[in-house]
Amino acid sequence: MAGKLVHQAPDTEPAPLLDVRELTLSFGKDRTNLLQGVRYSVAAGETLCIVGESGCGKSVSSLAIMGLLPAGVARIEAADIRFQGKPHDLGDQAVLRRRRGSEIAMIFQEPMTSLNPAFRVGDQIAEAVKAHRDVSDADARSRAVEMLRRVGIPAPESRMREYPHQLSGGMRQRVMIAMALANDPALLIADEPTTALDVTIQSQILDLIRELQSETGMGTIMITHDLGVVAEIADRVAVMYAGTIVESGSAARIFDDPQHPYTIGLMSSVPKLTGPRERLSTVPGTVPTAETMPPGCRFSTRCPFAQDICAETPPERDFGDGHRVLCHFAPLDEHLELA
Amino acid sequence: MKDAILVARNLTRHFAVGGSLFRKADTLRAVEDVSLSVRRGETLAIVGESGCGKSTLARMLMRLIAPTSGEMEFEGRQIDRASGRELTELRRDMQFIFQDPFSSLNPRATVGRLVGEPLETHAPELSAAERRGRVAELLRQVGLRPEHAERYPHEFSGGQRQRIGIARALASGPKLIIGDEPVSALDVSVQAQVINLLADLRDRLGLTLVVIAHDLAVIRHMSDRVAVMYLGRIVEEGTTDEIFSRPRHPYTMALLSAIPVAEHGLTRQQIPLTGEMPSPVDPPPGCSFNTRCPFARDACREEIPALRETGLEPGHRAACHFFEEIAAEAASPIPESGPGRTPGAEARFRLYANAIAGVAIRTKRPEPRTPERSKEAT
Repeated sequence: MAGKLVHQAPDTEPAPLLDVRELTLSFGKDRTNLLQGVRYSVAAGETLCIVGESGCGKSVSSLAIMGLLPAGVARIEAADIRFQGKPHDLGDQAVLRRRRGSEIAMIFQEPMTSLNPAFRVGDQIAEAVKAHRDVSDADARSRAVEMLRRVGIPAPESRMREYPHQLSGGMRQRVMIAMALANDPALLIADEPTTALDVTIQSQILDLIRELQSETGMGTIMITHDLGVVAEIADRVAVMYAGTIVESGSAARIFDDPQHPYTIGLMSSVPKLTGPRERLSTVPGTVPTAETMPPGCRFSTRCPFAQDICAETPPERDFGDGHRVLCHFAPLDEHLELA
Repeated sequence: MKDAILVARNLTRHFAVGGSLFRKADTLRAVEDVSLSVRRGETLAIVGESGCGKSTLARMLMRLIAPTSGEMEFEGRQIDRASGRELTELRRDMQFIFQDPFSSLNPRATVGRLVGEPLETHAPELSAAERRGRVAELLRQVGLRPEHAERYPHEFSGGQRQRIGIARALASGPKLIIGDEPVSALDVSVQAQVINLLADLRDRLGLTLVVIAHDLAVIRHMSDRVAVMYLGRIVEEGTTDEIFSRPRHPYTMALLSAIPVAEHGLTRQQIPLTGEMPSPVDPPPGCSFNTRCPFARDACREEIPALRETGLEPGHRAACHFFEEIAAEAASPIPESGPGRTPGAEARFRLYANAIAGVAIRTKRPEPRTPERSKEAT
């Protein structure tokens, strides 16, 4: 009985590892907001999938968090981000640099362009270790061997001496993961890590990420356009369209009870493996550019339900359990009917 | 074969790689002994992972490259050695749609020129004005506007560019179109638009389509028949419904089970494949799939299995020594659905599909911004 010591109850909601409360970025001379009020969070041991089509801003938001956006191109209009409970200041380059590759690691879609073709893969992993830890060359190398073994690369000692071009696409992505995890990051950001891979290799890599996550308890943000990958790996999902998160919630909610017309359109467009082979419903048109961005709801130019009111900023509706939707008409089935 | 438009018999294509003055080149066996026939009016899909030889096969069927050995017939004409005039005529009847709408269109040519160019070759009798009229019609057919003819490819999105590529392929009035991954570079929402467009064009113009793809779900929506390739060979073929409901080759099963399905709470029987596809420079002896097959036995490492009828449906063939036994013991690779969508979600999906199909939708209540079910009322 420890008297009156104030104790955090262990069964309360854990504080998120990364909590993006607000992120608004503008771009170009006319200052169109590339990201508009983006908000998401990920807890330790959890996988958040950010899903959206090309140009929706899903990669930009993670690059901004890592401090990897080239200065002068995008301007941060508003940012309130917490990492491990403390403010994560996007202006503090020194902290960001220290964090990158140690506390927050990132893997990208095309491992061939992210690995340096002129260096042996073992040396590249060892270099990543030495960048953040004060260890000897020998220790860094043995850490590299250990990491290669952990990501399922056979004969890691000899693979260490190979160059990226000598490895297949799947093996290169394993090397990237080995490098990213070499410093035991608390958060892994994976940007379309399996998009360039064949499906049988993709499923191996997804299994590997899941396995490593349960071993290390790291939080993962997976950026993808593939709703199949999302269903496979996500605990929570944020659906992004034209720089805004239009719907977010648990994977179960997003797949079984989607609310936003864009989420519904996206899911309707996906070719299915089961059920009737009927004509696919589409999302008409294309994503608006910075010049053609509509006021109010950004999806209104493609939404089959859009009305005059959609020119106003849609309210955020909370459907419980963190299921949030930005739409004037949510829930659609209560507000709309066939004429 | 009843009214086959294109028939290939024992097609093989080898490439020499890595040779030098002092070293004999290795042989890369891209396509090995492939026989298939495409029926008039159908969509045949050729599916496989990177490096399985599907693109080489497509280019061979188009006669963009010549086969090392084997025969091909198009509408009864022998075409595997066609050249010159004969080849030009063949190009009029068979056209190609490329995967990448960004690199396959000349950035310096207007859309009008890109689409009009095949007309200059294949319909030289048209006057300039007639050609412009035909280009406008082609653009309309693929869902673009005639005034787009004045613009350049960079002014269009990926999906629109793929439409330009399709208009260009249609210009010569082909009977058969071969598409190499025609939708895989596109976003899902746009991909669905192009899949629907190809289906409409096929029906309206009486085209025959051969689609090369790696995405089985896309193929299921586009094709009537499927041929699955692995390491240069066809390992299974049959009607689309048959391949997806009763796959017999272990590779087809593994491929089906590896596809992530966009549904929550699925229970799936993964057929895990270890390792990667062997190099076509050095294929394993026996069945080409034996190095990764979870069911492989000694016989698989010795003898190449023939593509034989499964007996399930005429024309469903699999190249596996033991598919009867494997099918009996393996679980279905198609995942079983979870609890599924809520009734509210089902209603929303129906509303969406109706709205997209053009059915009018109205608001139930005059004011969409209903107040939150207010707490003070209780």
